Amino acid sequence: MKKPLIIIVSVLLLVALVFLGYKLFYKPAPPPEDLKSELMLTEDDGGQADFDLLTQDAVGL
Amino acid sequence: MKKFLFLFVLLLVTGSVRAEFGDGNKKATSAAERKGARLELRDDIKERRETFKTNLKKIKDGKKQKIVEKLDIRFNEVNAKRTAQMAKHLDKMSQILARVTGDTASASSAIQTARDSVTTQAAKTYVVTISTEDKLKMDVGKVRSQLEADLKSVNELVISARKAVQATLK
Repeated sequence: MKKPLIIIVSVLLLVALVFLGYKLFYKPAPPPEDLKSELMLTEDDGGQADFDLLTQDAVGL
Repeated sequence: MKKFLFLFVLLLVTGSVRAEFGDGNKKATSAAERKGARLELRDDIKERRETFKTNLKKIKDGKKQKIVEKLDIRFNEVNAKRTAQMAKHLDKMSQILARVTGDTASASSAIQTARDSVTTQAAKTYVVTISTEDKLKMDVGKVRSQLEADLKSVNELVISARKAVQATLK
């Protein structure tokens, strides 16, 4: 085979590999809005419901 | 010249070895201290628990006895439930932070502070100290207030961590 042909094929293969790698492994950062909604799931009543139940449990003392 | 070089290297090596041993001893001491404190705390809880059981039998009103017994268990259940919930939330915050680009050091530190506090809180045990039968409500109330105050202060740190994570999303 001719040397220039080998170089062209190698370059093309390399470009294909880089493209595949980018498509397979690169995950763009999620938009802040998505993360904000996920963060909202970590909010709760601070245990108020449990404290209220404790108050009920103590009735009769 | 070679001798001097050899001596210099020898001094460096012995110095670093000594430093390592020094640190190791310090770590061993603090680990032993922590273990000692843990054992002391465990003994203290065991003693309080035994006193609780003895005093519980002295309550003549069977209904009240059952309520106090139940509450003593419930206090620790609530503590375990709340600390587990807070730990879960902190894990979620860490996962979110891992997907954020930019400076996350401050949020990361806030999460760690809250996590340490949650771990300490989870290790606590609440035991009702029974004085007299007519003061049962007050005795139970004291423990309940303590539990509530402790959990609220830990929750404040979790809220701060959430705010710090939120700040990185702007």
